[in-house]
Amino acid sequence: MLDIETPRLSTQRLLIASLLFLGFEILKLLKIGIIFGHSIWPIPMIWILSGSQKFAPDFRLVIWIFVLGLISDILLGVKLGLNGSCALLAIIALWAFHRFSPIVPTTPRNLTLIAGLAYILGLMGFGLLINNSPNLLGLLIPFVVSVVLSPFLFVWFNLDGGGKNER
Amino acid sequence: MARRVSHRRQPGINFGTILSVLLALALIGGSVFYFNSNKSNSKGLMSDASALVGSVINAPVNWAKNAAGYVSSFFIGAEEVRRLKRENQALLEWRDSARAIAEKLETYEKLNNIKSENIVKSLIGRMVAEVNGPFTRSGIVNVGSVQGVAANWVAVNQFGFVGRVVSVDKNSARILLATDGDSRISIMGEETRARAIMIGDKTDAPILEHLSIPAGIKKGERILTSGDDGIIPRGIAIGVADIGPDGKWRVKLNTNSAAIDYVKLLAPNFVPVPGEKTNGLDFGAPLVSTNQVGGAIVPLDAGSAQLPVANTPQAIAQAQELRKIKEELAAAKKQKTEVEPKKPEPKPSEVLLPKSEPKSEPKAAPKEPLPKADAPSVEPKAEVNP
Repeated sequence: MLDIETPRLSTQRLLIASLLFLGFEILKLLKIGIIFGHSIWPIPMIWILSGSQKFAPDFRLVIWIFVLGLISDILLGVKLGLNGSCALLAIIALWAFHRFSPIVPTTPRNLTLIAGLAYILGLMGFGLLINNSPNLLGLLIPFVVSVVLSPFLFVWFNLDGGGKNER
Repeated sequence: MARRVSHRRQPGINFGTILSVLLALALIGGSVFYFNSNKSNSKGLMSDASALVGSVINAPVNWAKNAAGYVSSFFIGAEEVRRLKRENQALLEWRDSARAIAEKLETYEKLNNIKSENIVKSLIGRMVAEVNGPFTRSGIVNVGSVQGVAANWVAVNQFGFVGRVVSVDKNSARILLATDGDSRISIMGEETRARAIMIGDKTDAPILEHLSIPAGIKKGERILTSGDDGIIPRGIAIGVADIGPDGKWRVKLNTNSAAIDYVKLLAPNFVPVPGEKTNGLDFGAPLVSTNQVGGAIVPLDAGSAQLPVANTPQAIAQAQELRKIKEELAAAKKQKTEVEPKKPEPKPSEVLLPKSEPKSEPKAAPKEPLPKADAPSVEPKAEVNP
């Protein structure tokens, strides 16, 4: 029998990623990060998604991402469930992508790029569901910043704790 | 050998995958339902909290910015002082120039005997909004007739013309704002001197109508009161001329730039109307039917009174002079006819003398002041009581 080892979720890395996520969300509250009416700070949810996409669908990931989205909503003062739902739509799209796509992104930048596109896709999908349109122009700079910074920060959002998969 | 692979290598879809996707979909569905129920706005709930967090986080940043600004102000200060000095120098030159022009103007006015417009009296009051008043755009000022305010006083503030007093109580006055539908103000362009009537239409930019030279007024030209109405002092700034979206000339009011708190009420600059009782003299009833034209009384049928038709000050003065003379002549003739029957029978030689007198009387009458119609002179009485 072939001994296959898949990545395992690490609780410690989940905690580190959560704290970093909170830190970057709080950065968005700074007034100095506003240029032309839009925030320039990166979207940490994209990094969360990029670190989560290589795992098999897991209900713990689903809850974790949704809770992080709720925290983001509370901090930023937007409607509750917005970021969490968009992120869940994005992670479903990413899981589908990794299952059916022949392209396998491996580098942190590519993973973040795919995750960012999935997040925007999720945002648009959720916008359709609630009959509202997202501010894609406002997301442009944070999206680019997230992708550009990903090689330096991906290591902190890599949730792989190593070890043998027990499933 | 063990190797690490991603989940895409796992064959089939297991229970965990289905459960995770279903959970995700359930959460998304719940969120959508929550959104559509219009109860999900966390702004009211969390905006204060996030604002507090933001203020705490921003505190050191703001402190650093203020400190940097404080330090940099020392370096920028020298340049600022130089700029202010240059500006002050230019302003002083303008002040001297304005003083010279004012002095020259005053001299010219004295030389040409021109009566300049002097604002005699002014009061300052606080204006409050009026909700249920008779006008759409009006306000109430807390000064009234006790303080000396009367109708037609003009309200201005630091930006310019505000409105006109339309009714007065003891301690309050109602101001009809320039934007009200009933407001009519005579205005002029600062450069072109084009005259027009500014008519309020309940918008923030009243319409300019009856333009004297429609093509002459310039876009962006300052609009001032013309004083042609004889009430509002000339030269009070109103706003800037512009063409509205409807293609009409409109005035962007200066007073729209800020809320109107305190206003100065200026006494109206009444120009005395010739023909009215301005000097205490009573000219009596007009001889012919009259019509009020341009503030003066002129006869309706100019031909019957043999008066000029032109409504010029000279023509009006001439008409009044002639009317006065005719009235005095008529009064004198009437008195004579009343007095003559009561006289004792004169001798034939004496009877002839009075007959010749009336022939010369009309010629001398305009030169000498004659008695009024309602005030009989002393001379006829002397004849009655010999």
